[in-house]
Amino acid sequence: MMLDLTKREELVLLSVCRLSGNAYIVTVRKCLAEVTGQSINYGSLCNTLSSLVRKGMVDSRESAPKAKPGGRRKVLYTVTREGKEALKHAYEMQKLVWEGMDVIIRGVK
Amino acid sequence: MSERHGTTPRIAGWILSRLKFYDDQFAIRDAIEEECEEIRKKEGRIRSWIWIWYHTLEIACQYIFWKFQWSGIMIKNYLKITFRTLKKNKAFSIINICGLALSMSICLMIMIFIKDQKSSDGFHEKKDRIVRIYTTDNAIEHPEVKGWATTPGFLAPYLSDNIPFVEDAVRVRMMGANVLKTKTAITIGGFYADPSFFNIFSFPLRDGNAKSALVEPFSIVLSEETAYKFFGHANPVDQMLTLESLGDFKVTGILRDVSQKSHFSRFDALISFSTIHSLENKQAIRSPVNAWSSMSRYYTYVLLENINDRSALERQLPEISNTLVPEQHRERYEFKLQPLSRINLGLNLANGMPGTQHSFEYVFIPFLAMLVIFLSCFNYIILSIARSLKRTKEIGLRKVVGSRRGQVIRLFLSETFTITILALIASCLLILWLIPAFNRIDAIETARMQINLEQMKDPSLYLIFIAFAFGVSFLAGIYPALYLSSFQPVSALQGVSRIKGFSRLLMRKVLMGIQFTVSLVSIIFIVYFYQLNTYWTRFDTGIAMDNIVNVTLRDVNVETFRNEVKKGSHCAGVSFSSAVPVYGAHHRPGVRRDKTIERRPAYYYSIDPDFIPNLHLELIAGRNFSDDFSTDTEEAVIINEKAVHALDFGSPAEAVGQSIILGEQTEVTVIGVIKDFNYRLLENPIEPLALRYRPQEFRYANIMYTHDVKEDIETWLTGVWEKFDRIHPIQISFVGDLEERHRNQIGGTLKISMWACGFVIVIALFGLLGMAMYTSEMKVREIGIRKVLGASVSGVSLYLSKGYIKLILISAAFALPGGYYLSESMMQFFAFRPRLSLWVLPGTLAFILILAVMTISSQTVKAALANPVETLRTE
Repeated sequence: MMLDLTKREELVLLSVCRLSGNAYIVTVRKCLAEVTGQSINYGSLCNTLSSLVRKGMVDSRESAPKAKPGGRRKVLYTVTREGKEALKHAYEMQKLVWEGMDVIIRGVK
Repeated sequence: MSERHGTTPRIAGWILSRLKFYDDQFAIRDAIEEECEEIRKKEGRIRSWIWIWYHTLEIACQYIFWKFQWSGIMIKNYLKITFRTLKKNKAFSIINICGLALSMSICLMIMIFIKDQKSSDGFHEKKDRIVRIYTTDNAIEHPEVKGWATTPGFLAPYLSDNIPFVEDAVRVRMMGANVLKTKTAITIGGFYADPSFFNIFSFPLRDGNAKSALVEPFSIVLSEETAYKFFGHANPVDQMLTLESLGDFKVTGILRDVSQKSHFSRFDALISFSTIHSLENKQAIRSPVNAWSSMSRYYTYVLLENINDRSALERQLPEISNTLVPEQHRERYEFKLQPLSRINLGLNLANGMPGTQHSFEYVFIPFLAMLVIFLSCFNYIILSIARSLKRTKEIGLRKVVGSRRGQVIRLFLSETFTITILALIASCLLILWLIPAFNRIDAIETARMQINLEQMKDPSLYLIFIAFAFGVSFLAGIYPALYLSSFQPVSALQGVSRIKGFSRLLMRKVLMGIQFTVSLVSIIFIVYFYQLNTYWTRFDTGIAMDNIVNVTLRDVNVETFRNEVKKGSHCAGVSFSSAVPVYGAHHRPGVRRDKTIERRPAYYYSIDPDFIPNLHLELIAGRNFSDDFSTDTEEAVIINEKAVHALDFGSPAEAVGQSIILGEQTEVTVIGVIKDFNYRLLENPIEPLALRYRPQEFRYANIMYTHDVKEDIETWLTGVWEKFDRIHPIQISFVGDLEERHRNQIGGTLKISMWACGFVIVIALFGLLGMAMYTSEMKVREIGIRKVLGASVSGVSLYLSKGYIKLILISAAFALPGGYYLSESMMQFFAFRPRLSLWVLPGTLAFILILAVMTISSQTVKAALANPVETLRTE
């Protein structure tokens, strides 16, 4: 089981978690922009998402377009167990690495 | 779709929906539209428009990047699989690589050849702006000749004076002279040219000033080689050089050697054009510059101010022709132009420069190359389809595991491409050996068509080669790829028998049939041409030329030369003539009975009374020329039988004593009629002929010799010649040699065709070998069972070969009559041709059958000999 995540994958995965149930590409992008303050382009978001899908950390499921005219297709994402494990792994790794290190950034504004 | 939302630009929407993977995985288009709508509501139409375009392009870029990443991995994968399959099917790979390499090498050679020819005159700096003016002639004898490469001498000055956008123009005339410097005269060839020659063309000068070198009369510019010949290492500039009958020339420059091809070919010297005027006054050269008759002598090259002026000049030329062509010729001649780059491999024009080839001859060469390439592609297709039986399982599995049809197609194409690239490498090595062989063919050498191996060093050539390999692999690979990838996984995994659709057996048979048809037709064709060649060699021309040697006379006194030659012990007879029959130049003034009627075409020679007995010609009426009649030299003519008919005389006897008009107005009396003989090459029919006795026109002595060793004859005649002329070396030509040279020209074409035909057959046999190998491999168990049940070895081999032999017989049904009629219609071009013998047809068939049976049996006998116990035990 591959649990390594890149920084961007980690962020995207977290946003998918946060949006629980309503995570599709538009909302994921918005959520990321809100939390981090910088927007991410659709193209690179697609690539990140597709690699998450490939790693099996995210499940995708197409919701049928609404019957009314102008209804859109949506592909909704949910985090899988593997995804959660990977996040846990990343979080623990983070904690280990930061253990006792917050001293050095205390003075930095 | 875009109307649905009314917000997204149609093209952006289209682009997004084309990014199939993204659209499937993320519904990207809908997402973009959704956000776009929001932005439109908040910030207005224009902002949303900018936004959507920015994001569409960004997504597209990302998509392409992503794709590349994947296709790189896929290509690596394809290559790995390709090499595995190549290794696994060694025989198949080798047969295909060899076949493709053979046919590709022919194509590559032709490409290099054409490139080599096209590179002619590429070194001139102003090449794009240079055009040559030529003269069309609608009354020329040969239909394939479109006119004259030459123009009258007054055209070039007229153009540079009267046409504003003509920057410069040059007149060029061919020149040949004997240099009197060393003990014996040395002939040099070159051109008279205006000073602007160096402005227009970029021939570099090693010594001398390009601007002034050709200004003064009697200036000469020599090539490096020629200068060395006459002056050694000394500085030749300002030295004097005497040209026989032209005068003393001052050397004003030395040309640097140019290695590139030029349509001027290699020349030894350039003489200032102003010299011509002095020579005209001295009567040293004929056809004055300003007369229309100079039309066949002067080449006109024009340098335009701008490349775009070409069409302007083209438009003005009819008008210029109207002004300059004399009224009585206006219907017949017109000036036209051709760009410098189109001179070589361009129009077929009379009096062309020595370095030009005509495109006419080359139409069939690329055709041949295409044929050979198609045949070897057929091989590939046949073998791939045959092999498909083995690969159906692989394809089925691939599809089940999830590869799409496009991926399977790409896999097979990349396999084909690898094979083609390997073949390309092989054929590059092959042409290194083929080109020298090609250059050594006599006809190629005499036509100066040798391929310069320097061309191989040009890197751009290899790009063309690779592009060509791409084309070939597509041609060969696309059908098998489409066919193999069309299998449905279920039926493919279940076995071949379940695959239905278009019968691949039929396709394979048709392709093999075409291969054999082409091989058969080409063999038939070549055998018939060989037959024509031998027919011509053995043909009784009615003129005894076998033991004749011709000596060019120059200023030698005819009488004393005759007496001197007759003293020789090898001499059986001497006669004199104005041209060498069969191989000499022909003058064609025409004949008629009175001035009111149109001239009938007729050839003309001047001969002496000994000519007829010496060459064993037969008089059938009247008498020979004789020195006893003083009027014979002016008023008498001997005609041949054809002329008797052309002039509407009832019989030869009736013609004797009648007066006829030769040419414009020479009135002569027929004193004799000779039997028709072939005085031209056998391609041409015998035409009317008029013979006169005018000693002042004699240019050759025809000496009949009775000795076998040519060298002895040569030393004897050289000895005789030196008594008359010590300066000029003797010019001697044995008719046998001339004949041989002519035969070589036909032989050259024959040789090239034979090579091509050999390639065709070898390729067809390769295909057959592959198929035979394959079937005997597939039928191993069947053969085993047959043998167990009592079949004999010969019975089994026959059973295995039967299909192919049937196929050959069927293609023969098309090829034999087809080849026969094709050859028959080609033969129509020659006046004297043999009756095509029909035995050639079964002979060819037998030949191909023997080759085919040998090829097949190498495999089938092996299969049939195999011990059934062994073959049946496996699996």
